[in-house]
Formats: sequence, structure tokens, C-alpha cells
Amino acid sequence: MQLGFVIDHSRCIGCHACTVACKAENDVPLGVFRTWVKYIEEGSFPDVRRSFAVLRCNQCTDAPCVTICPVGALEKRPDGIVDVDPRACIGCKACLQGCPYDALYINDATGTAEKCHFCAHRIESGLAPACAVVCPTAAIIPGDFHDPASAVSRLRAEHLLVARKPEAGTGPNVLYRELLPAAADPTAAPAAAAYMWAERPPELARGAEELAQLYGDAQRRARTVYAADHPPAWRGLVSGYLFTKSLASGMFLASGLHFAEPGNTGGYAPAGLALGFGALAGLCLTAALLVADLGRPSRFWFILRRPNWDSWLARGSFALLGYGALLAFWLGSAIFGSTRRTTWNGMLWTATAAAAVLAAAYTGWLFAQARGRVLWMRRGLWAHLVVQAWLAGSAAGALWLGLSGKGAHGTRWRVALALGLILHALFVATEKRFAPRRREREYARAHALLWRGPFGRRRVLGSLVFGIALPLLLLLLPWPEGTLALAAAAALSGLWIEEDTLVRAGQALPLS
Amino acid sequence: MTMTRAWSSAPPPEAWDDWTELDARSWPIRRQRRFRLVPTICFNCEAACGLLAYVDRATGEVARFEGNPLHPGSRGRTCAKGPATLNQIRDPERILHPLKRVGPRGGGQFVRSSWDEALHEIGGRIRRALDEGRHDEIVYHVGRPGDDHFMPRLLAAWGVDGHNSHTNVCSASARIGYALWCGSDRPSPDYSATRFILLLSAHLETGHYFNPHAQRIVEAVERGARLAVVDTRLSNTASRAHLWISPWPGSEAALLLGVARTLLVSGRFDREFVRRWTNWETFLRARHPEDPVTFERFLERLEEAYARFTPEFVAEECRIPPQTVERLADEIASAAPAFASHLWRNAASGNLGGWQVARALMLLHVLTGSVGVPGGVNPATWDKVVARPREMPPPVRRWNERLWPRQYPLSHYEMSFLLPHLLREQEARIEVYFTRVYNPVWTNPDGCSWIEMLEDDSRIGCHVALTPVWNETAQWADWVLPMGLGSERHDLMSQETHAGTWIGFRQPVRREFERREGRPVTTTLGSNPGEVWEEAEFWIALTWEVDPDGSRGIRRYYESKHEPGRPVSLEEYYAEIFEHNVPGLPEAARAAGLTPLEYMRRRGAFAVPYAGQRRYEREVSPQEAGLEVDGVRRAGFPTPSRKLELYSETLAAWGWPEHAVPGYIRGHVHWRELDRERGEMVLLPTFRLPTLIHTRSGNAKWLLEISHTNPLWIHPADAERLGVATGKLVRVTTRIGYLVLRAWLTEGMHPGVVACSHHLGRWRLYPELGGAKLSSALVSLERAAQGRFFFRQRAGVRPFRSDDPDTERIGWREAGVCQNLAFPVQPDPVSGMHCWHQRVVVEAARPGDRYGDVFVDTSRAREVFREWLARTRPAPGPGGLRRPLWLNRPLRPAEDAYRIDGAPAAPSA
Repeated sequence: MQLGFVIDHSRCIGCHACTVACKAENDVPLGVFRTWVKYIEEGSFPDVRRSFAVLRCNQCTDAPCVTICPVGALEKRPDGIVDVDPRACIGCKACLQGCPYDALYINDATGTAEKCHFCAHRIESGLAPACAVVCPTAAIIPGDFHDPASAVSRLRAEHLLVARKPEAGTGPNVLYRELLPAAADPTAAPAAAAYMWAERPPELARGAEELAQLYGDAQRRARTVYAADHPPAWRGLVSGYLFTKSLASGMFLASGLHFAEPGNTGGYAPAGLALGFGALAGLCLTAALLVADLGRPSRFWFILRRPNWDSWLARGSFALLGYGALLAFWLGSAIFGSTRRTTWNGMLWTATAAAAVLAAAYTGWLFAQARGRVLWMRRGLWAHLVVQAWLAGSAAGALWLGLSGKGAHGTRWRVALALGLILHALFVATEKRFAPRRREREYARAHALLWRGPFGRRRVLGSLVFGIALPLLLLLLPWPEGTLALAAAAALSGLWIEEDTLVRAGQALPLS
Repeated sequence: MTMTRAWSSAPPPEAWDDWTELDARSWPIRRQRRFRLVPTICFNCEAACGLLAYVDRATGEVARFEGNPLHPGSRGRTCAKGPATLNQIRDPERILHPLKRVGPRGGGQFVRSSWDEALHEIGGRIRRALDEGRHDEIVYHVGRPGDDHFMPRLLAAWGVDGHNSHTNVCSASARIGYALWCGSDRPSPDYSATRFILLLSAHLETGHYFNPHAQRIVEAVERGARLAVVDTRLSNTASRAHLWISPWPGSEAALLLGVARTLLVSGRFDREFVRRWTNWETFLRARHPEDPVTFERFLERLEEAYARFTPEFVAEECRIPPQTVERLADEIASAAPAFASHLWRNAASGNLGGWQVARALMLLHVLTGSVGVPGGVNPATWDKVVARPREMPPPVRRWNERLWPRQYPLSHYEMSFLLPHLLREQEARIEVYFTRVYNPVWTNPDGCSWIEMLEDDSRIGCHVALTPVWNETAQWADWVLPMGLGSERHDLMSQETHAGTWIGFRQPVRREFERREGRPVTTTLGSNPGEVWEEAEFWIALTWEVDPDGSRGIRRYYESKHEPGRPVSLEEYYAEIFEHNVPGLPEAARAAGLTPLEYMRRRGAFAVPYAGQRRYEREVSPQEAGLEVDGVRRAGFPTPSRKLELYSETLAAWGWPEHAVPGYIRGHVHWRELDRERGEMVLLPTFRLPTLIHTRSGNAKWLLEISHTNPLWIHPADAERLGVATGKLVRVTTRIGYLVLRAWLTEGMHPGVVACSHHLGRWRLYPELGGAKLSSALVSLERAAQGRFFFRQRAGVRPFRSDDPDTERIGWREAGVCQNLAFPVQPDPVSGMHCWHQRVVVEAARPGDRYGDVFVDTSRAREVFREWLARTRPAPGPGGLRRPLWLNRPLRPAEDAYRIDGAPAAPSA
């Protein structure tokens, strides 16, 4: 059984009755929606049309929200409904990123995710979903796509039906009749700073025109004139998480530079240990930021209690945990045990380093599960994150060295930092080529945001000029005291901007 | 666990008394919740759709509203405003107790009072006025009546000609246009069998009757019918049309007459229908007395009359593509007689002479024989039933010039929006002025003149605001009396939603719930929140205060027959109507084993057996009203000639012979009239949004979060010329002031014309009083000099703390801008309709302008009033009458009241 809707836009009159009936039925708070009606205008006077798109959860066959949920709070029921269990949800918002359709939101009263669940409580009571019942023109038709006799199957047999973003590979089970291409593709019809009878949130209104010019289709002149806005779900805390995690991973990796120093026979130098402690502190901060970003912080341990092993958020949490355990063990054995170069110590360091790499890399795979965010789905992002971790770690080490007045002696740190910067620049330079498969068009539009407009300006100046070119230049200068610390500080600042831009710009392209 | 085949839209009626379903709020824990389902009627727009309230059996609270599947008009479906009724009844800012003013009127100070005190004081004032013969000083001013008979009957019982409606800011022009043709003042399109629909309206999103009509229009289109929409602005409805025509505002009649000419010239019209059912002989005799009275000659003359409306002329006049006329004519001709149309406000209400748009549209139906036939347009009176008690008071024997001034003998209806000007000119006073679901300070043009009137004790003795929520006008009330919302009151409603008849019963659902739970209640007062009452019971109680001992002969109409000496209960009142005055209901109830009252309480609506179409063809006896057509006596139409009046002798006799046939009056905002050099444009200020309903939806959070601001729609080319962009401030200057609002650039606007929705723009003077915080801006009102009003928004909408956590989640800040304040009154000299469209100058905001600024000079407003008044051709008409006897009035006085008898002329033109 696969329940779903056919939404017949040959009948829809854009009246919003479905939106309001859903709110009444499901007690949906102000500001968020389980279903809404988008308005598009296309053409020039007098050959201009307004069209509608009733948007909501697609009850996907391969639901990315179910996959990415770290605690299995989302489930695909036997009847095909995708439902969320608020008792299990921790409010991590990964499902909001996993969904290519903006179907989920966080209820601020409960801190947990909610979505259209096909009015499962009604259909189990024998009633059709509230939106279908209220619709004045019977444009919303519920049914079972696996039952050939159902109304939806008959409609599918008789008419050309389309789905939103079939390229996302989610197997949507809300199919549309006469849905305008510009209404189906949110990047094809940008919105201005305001809607025809509603304001937009200031953060989305600001720069709306400029963004629209970046990704909009100038030929078509289609405009979104009303929609439910979806402000970014992940903000500074997640950028912070990404940055502290890069530091946590990279500082440990960079500690190797101290141990590999010529003449170091005594094993762990204090500076190396300091980096190890720095890594542990970064890791603790990473975990704290992750927990703080949860809608239900007190439920963070649900990830450990009932992990969804399909989710890279769950896997990643264990990776962080494993890395933390190894790091602590390593630090303990370095302080209390033998500090000499032994096979055991070498093995322990290597294992911890592998965990650090995994801790850096897994976010790439997590982001790849965020099927709503094409910019994050870039192929090979995991490797770039490892490079960023190395850059963060080497910059931190170099900064320490520079500030402790030994900058003039840090040749290998200069090399390490330069290597990190060059590799980072290489990834940046080639990122356009690594679009996620089948999402190339959307990726190209999202990628434009990284180079132009408000995000682009910040990134090009902050991340590339200040964060890569400047430190490289400083490193090339003959070795006056202090340039190493400056270069490291610039590289770190640039990296923060880079990672924050990835988080923010990644959510700037509208999904619906 | 899922029964895919068995889903139903609503529980079966036999399960309504005890319905168990799973609770959405505890999901996925499967907690059962038991309900009683009680039907009622929505009170948001005028469509009177059926609602079904889910009342929780454990708490007695209404959990939600869905559509009533037994309702013949709405058929179980509603628009967004139906389920949003829940917001309104749970509104945390509701007025819960009678409030009485202290301090100066408009000073924002009220104290809690009691119903007893209110009834006693207001009743005493009315009683004294009646005893002193000051009957005309009692005025009831209603916005949405929500009922078909109650108040006209009550005012007749009081002997007061005091019914003042909102009609002339709404639909007067369309009404008189239709009435002059066929005696019925509105159309009832039969979409069920139509092949072509022409809408001069936005019925897929708003209007009379949005949800029922949208259902049927979409079904017709699905069946293959074609849809054309005439609307200057791209409405949602226009977007769904096969053909959207965007004429210059005020030129619509030219377009329709162009189509008429094309049909005539090409011979594509129903000769027999025109010959049999129009008063063509009268036309010929009046206009061409020298001609032989033959049908052939008539056709030549008719063609001649419309000869100037060539496609080229129409294209230039309307600024539309030249092929439009031919296309429209082809569509109509190929569908005829299955050609349906609708016009209610839109072009008719916007323009000087807008009533000729309705006349011209109806001409197309007459030419195509699509009047009262399947797929055509019925006179609305066929498709509506008005049920009343059997005992009716005699008609009022007075004529109240405050409402029916002699300058407007054909007005349809009361010149309500002129009240401040009329009272001033007539030096008249109103002792007790009721506003009921009416908010003239915000709704009417020239609201500041209303403020001046309400502040003046010598004009208004006592203002009683009957309203569920605060509104702008209630700020200037002496009494604010909280009345029930759609699910908290009794009313009877019937609307012409389709070729069929039905009657709906609005009832207070918690009262009905209690009754079914075995706890009968005798008044709605206890079952509504706080001390919220309902009008019907209030009016009965007030009548008993007015005539406490029955000596005035008023009380008897509201006295129980079962318990003489006691006021009639609503149970008895409605039982009597249902038992005796709703055709077919007693039989249907008997078949269901119920009393008629019980039947209506349980089902909420009843499909009255339909009398069918083509009623004018019905053969009648010589005793019945009718006329002879080709030797057979038939019913005909309720016009003086019993025919469709192509030539209106009424218009000719009452001073407008040049407009006696459907014609074209170039409106007051025609492009030829504009001073383009000065930057003049036309403002269309009348369009509705699908989610809102005038002044009543300001407390519906789910509707406001979708739509909460009313920017100025402007074409990008105009915007470029003015240097404005979406979101930027513009100043719109009218003849009496200006307003500052945001621009919204859209290709869906005719260049040279701007538009602004009349929804939104709510304001209040006081932080905690005067308007819903959800939807109104807090404004300061500066009055630097006599008659000069300057409104500035001190704060927009802000989140606030209340019993409802959602009020802290309010994400919008703008409440829109109240444009009507800056409009002068522009009464059409024939229909009395306020001609809404405005000549304005649009410019980028000036330094110092702020969002929401409104400036008005009421002395300018008076000048404009006098200009428009000068266009009138006052009564008396033939026979010394104030008004043609055959034209309808909501409260119809006795015939002798129509005689003007040399009474002193009131306002001087």
C-alpha cells in the first residue's frame, strides 16, 4: 500500500482552505505549515497568468527524512505514510535538511519535528484527510497508488501527472495535474522582498532581489508572489559545530608534526600535548554546540540509546564519541604512561588520527544525506572537510608557535599550513565540477550563490582573499618574526567564514 | 489499519450524536475522543455555507469546524474562512461583557456593565423617542445581516423606518441594473448546465457566493464550459479563465454593448425570445414615435442604437485588443442559451454609471434567451426562500429622510454612507444609533466625517455597537455589546447559490450541544463565552423594554403564544416558522420522524422543493399577476410591464430618459478624463482576498498569517516611471487627503491603473482597546485644525502574551493601510452606489512620509459630497412619489409613506 495525493491544478483555485483546515485539524502553530499554497506569476501584461501549487510532504517511497533521522523518530508506515513520533524526536532538524520539499518544521512548543502525516489519525477513524474534505473544488484527491482501482491510480492512468523534483530520487507520492514547471521548481520563480499580501521574514527579504537575479531564470520572468517562507533551520550553532570539529580533528592530526620533529626522541613534546588538549576541548565544544542546537537538548542521549544506523548523524555521533574516547586515552597514556616512542604509542596515535579523520569527514556524508541541500551534497565534500580540518589544526599549531615566540623556527608548520591552504584552494577551485548526480541544474544555481551576491562577496573576500591568498602571501615572505601567527590567524578566520558560508548559503536556495 | 476505500468526508449523520475518532493532538498515541457534531451556518461571508461543529463530549468545547455535508449550497465544503471560525470563537481578545462608556465619547474609557443595565437604558431611550413621535431617530445600521427577515420585521413592529444597510457601499449599482430589467435585483447563474461563463467578478476567490459558486464553476469548466473574466486586475479567478479581459475601469459597459452590437449585426440572437419577452414596443414608441410598431423595425432601431460600439471603438475605449469583442461574441453565440454570467460589485460598484454595466450584461442574456433557462441566469428571487413568522406587523407608515433622501429616488438601497453629510445638511439627529456587524469608520469612504458625526452629541444621542470584537467604530460607542459569532447565534439564511432553493439554520452550537446532552438551556447567554449574547434574544428583550406593558402594540409580536405574558423563546419562534412557512419541511421532518425544528437542529439545512426554471412562461389565471404573450396569459416578470424592460419607463419617468435603455456612461475615472501630466492614475480599491472578509476576520490568526498587508499593485512600467520598487513607500493622493503604503509590482495590473485590497489596514487608537492586536496597527490621531485628521502608525502588529501561545508567535509586523479614510463619498446619482474607484496621484513617498500615514481633510470631503449631490435628479417622481412603488426596499413602508406631500426638501443641492 502506498498512500498519497493527486493534486489537481486544473481545479485548484488557490483559496488556502487546505492550509487552514490542516492547521485546525492538526493544531499547527503560527509561522509553520504542513501544507500551503504557493502563487506564481508568469508573463507580461496582458499575457500574464497566476498559477498555484499546493505544497506538502510527498510521503516519499525512499524518504530522505527517515534515512537522516538519527533516532528513528521518522518512520515509513506499512501504508506508505511517513510519520514522525514526537516522543522520539530530539529536534536536530536534520530531517528539515534531508527533505527536498520543505515539508518538515519544528514545533517550538515541543521542540520536535512535525509534518503532514496524511491525517493518519483521521484515516484510521475512517475519515479522509482534512485538506481533501475542505477543498471547495475537490482538487485534493487522496488514495492508494498501489491499488489500481483507487481514485489516484485512475487519475494517474488517465492524465499526465508530474512530481516535484523527481531528480531528487525520493519517489514522491504526491502527484500533480497541470502543475506549471515554474511552480514546481522553486529556483525558476524567485520571490521579491515581499509577497502580494504578506511580508517576508526580514532575513529573507533582505537581498531577495539580488539572490533572485543570481538563480532566477531571466527568460521566463516567472515570479513567486506568495509562499510560506522557510528560514534556515541550521544557523550559527551548526557553523560553530563545523568549525570546532575541524579544529578538534585537525589539532590532533597536527600534533603529529611535533612528534615527527627531527631530534625528538623523547616522544610527546609539551606542545604536542597542548594540541591534543586543544583537540579535546574542541571536541567537547563540538558536542556542546550539537546538543545546544537540538530542539530537545535533554534528549541528546536518544542518539546513543536508539540510533538509526542509516543516519550519518547517528554514525557521526559515534565517530565523535569514538574519537573522543581514543583522544582521552591517548592523552591519559601520554601523561601517565610512557612518553617514549613505542609501537604501542605509535599505534594508538595512528588509531586516534584515523578517528580524527573520520570525525572530520563524516559531516560530508551527513551533508550528502541532506537531500534538500544540493550545495552540501557536493561529491567529495568529505575530503574537503578533512583538508579543512588539517588546515584548522595546522593553523592552530602555527598560531600557538607564533604566539609563543617561536614562529621564526616553524618551517614545517609553514609548510604544513601552506599545504593545507593550497589543497583547500584546490577544492574550492574545482567545487563546481562535483555537483551531485542528477541535481546538476539546481547545484549550478546554488553554486552561483557561493561566488556572487551577499554570500559570494563574503566568501570571496573573507574566505578566499583573506583566508587563503593573504596567509599564503605571508608564508612566502622571508621569515620575519610574527608572520606565521598572522598567517595562521588569517587562515583560521577565513576557514570560519568558509564553513559558515557553506552552512548559510547551503540553505539559501528555496526548496519550495 | 488503514481502510483506504472507506474514507468518508464526514461521519454519517446517524453517528453525529456520538462520534469517536482518534485525537490528533496526542498522535501517535491512539487516544479516542468523543464528539457530538452540531451543524450551523458560517458567519464570515454572505454565502451562508454549512458548518459542522465538532463538540468534545468531555469538555463541551468546540474542537473544530468542518463543512456540513447536508447543506445543499456548500455541499460539505468550505473556504479557508470556515475552519478559521475556530480562531474567532477562541479569540483571546474577545469582548466578554457589556461595556459602557465613561468619559467623552471616543476617549477610550469603558467600564463593565450588565445586560440589564444596557437593556434598561437603551430601551428607555427608544421608548421615550417613540412616545414623543421621534421614530426617525432610531436607526439600525447593519453590515452583514446574516439573516433574511428578523430585523425588518422587528423594526416594522417598532413602527420605525430605521433600517440602514451597507448595500450602497457594496452592490447598489448591480442591483438597480438587474432590478430595472427583471424585477429581481441580482443574478443567479445556473452553472450546472452552462457552456460559457462570463464573470465580471472574482467568484473563484471571493464574493456572492464564493465557495458554492467556485465549486460549480470548476465543475462546469471540467465538463467543457468556457470561462471568460472581465477584471482590470489579474484576480485568481481571471488567472483560471480561458479569456482574461482587462479593460480600463469604467469602460466595461462599452465592451458588453460592443458584444451586443456584434450579435445583433450578425443575427446571432434569439429573435423569438426578444420578441416575446422584452418591451420592445415601448422602446419603439418612446424613442421612435414616428416608426411603425413592428418587430423588424425595432431590430433595425436597436442595431442603430448600438451602432457606435464597433470593435474598434470598444478597443480604444476599453484599451483592450481589438479582437476581444468578436471573441467574446463568438463564445456567447456558440454557447447560447447555456450562457451564464455574474456581476455583483467589481465594475458596477467602482464606477459612476456602473449600473449600466449590469444593464448591458443582462442585455446579452436577453439577446441570447439565456434568462431563466438551464445553463443561463435566473432571477435570484427564484432560487431563494425567505421564511418568516406567520404573524407580521403592519408596514411602517413613515419615511426616514436620513436614510432615504429625496435626491436619490432610485437608490438601491439606503444612502447609508452619506449619513454624516445628511445629518449635517438636514440638521437632524439620531437618538439611538445601532451599528451591528458594521464598522463605518473603517469600511465607509470618508471615515473621518463619521468620526466627527459620532463625536457630536447633537447628532448621535447614543451609539450602541453590537459586535463580537473591537472595531474602529466601536471606539466611538456608548455601549459595546458583545454578540455571538457564527456558532453562537440563531439566524435563518437562504442564498441563490444555484438553480435550487434551500434554507439554512444558524444555531449556537454549545447551546444545542447542552440540549442534546440533556441539559436544556433557555437562553444563549449562558452557553456563549463570558456574557456574550446573541442578537435575536437581545432584540426580543429590548422590545419588551420598549413596550413593557404592551400598550404600544409592539410587544405582542414577540410574545409567547404558549405562555402569554412572557417573551417568545427562540425555540418557539423558529419552531413556528419551520412548521408553517418553509415549504416541504414539515413533510420531510415527518418522514424522518422529527419535528421540523428538530430536523433543522440536527441537519442544519433543508433543500426546499424547487419550483423550476422558465417561470415567466407559466400560464396563469386572470386573477394572478401576469401578461398576455401571443394570446396566452403568462406569469412574466415582476416588473411594471411584466416583461424584461429593455426600455425602462421607470428611468424615463424619474428623470433619466437618456439612460432608459442599456447604455454606456463613461465612468468618472475614464482615461480620457485623467490628467496624465499631473501623474493622475486610477485606484481600484475594492478587491477582496480569498482569505479575509472585510472587518470580521481580524481575529482569525490562521487567515492573517497568510495575508496581512495590502500593498499598492502597480505595473512595472508605471513603477519605473515613478521610481518605485516592490516594498518601497508610495504616496497616493486623493481629492481629500493622502495615504502612504508600499508598492507591489505586478504584471497583473493594467498599466495606468493601481489597485489596493480593501481588506486589511485595521487600526486602533488605544493599546488595549479598539481593535484586534493580531491585525491592527496602533495609531496616533493628530487633529491640528478643524476637520484635518492625520493618522500615524505608532506600532505595527507585535507578538503579545495571551491565553493562546500563538499570539507570541506572530511573525508579521504590518497591518496594512486604511485607504478608505482618504476617499470622498461619490454617490452615483441613479443607484446611490458609492463609486469606489478613485482618481489619484501616485508618487514615491516624500521625505518624512512613513508607512501607514493617512491624512484627510473633511472640509474637502464635504465639497466633493456637494459636487456629487449636484448630479442628482430628485424626487418627487410621477404621482408625487419619493420612489417608484414597484422598486424594492429592505423595510418596505406603507404606500402612503411614499408620497412626498410637499414635506420640506432636506439637503440643498
